[in-house]
Amino acid sequence: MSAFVGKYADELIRTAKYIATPGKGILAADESTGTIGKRFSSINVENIESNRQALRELLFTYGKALPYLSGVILFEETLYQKTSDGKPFVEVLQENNVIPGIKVDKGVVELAGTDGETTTQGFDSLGARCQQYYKAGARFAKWRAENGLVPIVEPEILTDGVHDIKKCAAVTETVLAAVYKALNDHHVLLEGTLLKPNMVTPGSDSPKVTPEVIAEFTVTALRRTVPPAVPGIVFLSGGQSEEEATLNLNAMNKLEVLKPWTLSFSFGRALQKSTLKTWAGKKENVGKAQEVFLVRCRANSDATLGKYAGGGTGGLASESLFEKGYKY
Amino acid sequence: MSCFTNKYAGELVKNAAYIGTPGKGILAADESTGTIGKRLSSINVENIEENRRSLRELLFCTPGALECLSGVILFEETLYQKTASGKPFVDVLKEGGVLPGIKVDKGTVELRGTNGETTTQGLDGLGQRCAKYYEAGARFAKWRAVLKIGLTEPSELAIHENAYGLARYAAICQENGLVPIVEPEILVDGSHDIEKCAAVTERVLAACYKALNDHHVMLEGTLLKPNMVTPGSDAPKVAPEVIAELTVRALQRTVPAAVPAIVFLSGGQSEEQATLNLNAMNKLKTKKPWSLSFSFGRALQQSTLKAWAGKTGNVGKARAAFLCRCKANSEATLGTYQGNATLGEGASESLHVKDYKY
Repeated sequence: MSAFVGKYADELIRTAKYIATPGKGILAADESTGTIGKRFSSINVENIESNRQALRELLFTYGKALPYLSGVILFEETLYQKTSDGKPFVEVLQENNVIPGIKVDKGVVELAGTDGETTTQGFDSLGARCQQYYKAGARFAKWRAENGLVPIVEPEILTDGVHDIKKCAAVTETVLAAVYKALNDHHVLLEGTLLKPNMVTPGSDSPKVTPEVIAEFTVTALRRTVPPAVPGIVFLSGGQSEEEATLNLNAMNKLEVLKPWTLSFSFGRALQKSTLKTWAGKKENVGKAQEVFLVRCRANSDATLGKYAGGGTGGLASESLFEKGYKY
Repeated sequence: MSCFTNKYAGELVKNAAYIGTPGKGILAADESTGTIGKRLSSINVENIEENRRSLRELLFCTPGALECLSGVILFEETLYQKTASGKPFVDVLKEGGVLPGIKVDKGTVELRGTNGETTTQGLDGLGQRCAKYYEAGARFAKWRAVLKIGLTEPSELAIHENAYGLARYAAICQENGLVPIVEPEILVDGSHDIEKCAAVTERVLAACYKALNDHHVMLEGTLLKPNMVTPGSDAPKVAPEVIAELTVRALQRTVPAAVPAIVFLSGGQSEEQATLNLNAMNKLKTKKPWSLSFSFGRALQQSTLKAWAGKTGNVGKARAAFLCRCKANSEATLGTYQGNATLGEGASESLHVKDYKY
């Protein structure tokens, strides 16, 4: 067998294809406890479980926003949390045709002898953990696949640096080629996976370029490396502002060149930033915050169809979310 | 730069895309002197230069045939030959809208320590040879790597050597203005089933594209010439639709969309089989970001050769047979072939020769 085809093969292919539905995308709400703490401190909210629960309830129970999402990535704690009425988040999502996903890696560690380069941990007992997550309702993961979870393969190349967009393109192509060779070596069924790459952009300390240029370099890099069997590519936003990320995704979907996979989003900060600021941890702001969230969901949904007209919620949406040496 | 680009980049992209034009494909007429000798002896024709020249004139000057072709692969001798009236073959092809191509490999040699596996020679001085061929009018090149399926084959060594040889050849071609056809042929010999062939094909193609990436080859200026995914020659046959499904699936899993066209080798299939399989692939409703066409040698020439039998008086008959196969395959690239084109003698004959040595 070239690709491992276990009992989950058909389900994996169906799930991956559904996540890649045009007009929909992924909300990456899998911030670890430490990371969500940083977000909360920026809006003066205490990092306690009930606040983490309140934020996710704000996001997941807004019925109007859910049609624009095909999946939500969760942190382990959230997978087992409920709404204030006692309904498991997983059920809320499933009832609204949003597939629950789970972050399964355990962060990065430095590679000895390199200049600060890292590798990712999390293999130990990964199989057993995946089985548990599947039982809890998860159907995709941000990592691998033998236990019914569609793996989102995420090789993020950080934007930090003074390099130009051509350098980013070269590195992205080299990395993606290596990733797909490795997936082939490991007999992974590509039709049951998704790719979550960085967009190809200039380094954070180098002059900006237009969304059309980003679109061209990004799509060229993907056409050179990502086999057509992969059903969808869901970009990470990596520190781009909400508006930038949407405009870039939109430009890619407008590009008139053959793209055998759908191009969508798996945004964390670029979907939640203005929502967080609007909420500021206060119950009375929930309604307003949800409306702000809806605006970004709709904008990104339009972007997956190349229909975004621009100009979401002004000021907040244009703020860069870039943080040097970002640690999740 | 991830991929190498130079003054030829635009031309390479244009020529590669042109070869993939729907309705067209490649005639592989690059048989070495030794190999063409075998063909000629099968029809009792002497292997002398004049006969080799006559055969190629018969093919290239068939009225209507060139419209079905986007390229013809030539052996070095042929690149410099002319029609009986003194017109260089290269000009005949160019005027007919057909790009001349050139075989540049120097055959296979065994890899010591393996079970009869091989690697392909020809890298020494390849750059200068390519430059020379470009001057003579060639615009694409071909290099054949060979792998086989067995209990322990293809080995990691054989896959690596052949993939990296292909990648180095491809990079050198692009440096000199020639579109490289990347040909990793997995021989059909064996009793394995079609799933085994699919698994091996996917493994080999993944290795090829990793190697091409390592060597900074610009995929938009290349072509792929793979085997179709079929059961082994000693295993039960399957329908063209099954061959189509598994072949296209293997390609979807390994060939990036940047590659403009895939031109299949016929590898011993009969003329009709090869055409039916290609047709089935083009009828398949699934993602195919590259065009699917042909680069046939035996599967385009078999009945033509038989009809010719080396006699001037048979040229008309032979040309009719050739035009028939050209048209059939042209339709197959569009998925419109109806089957059983006025079958010339031998069109259904299997062309499989065990352990075929080119």
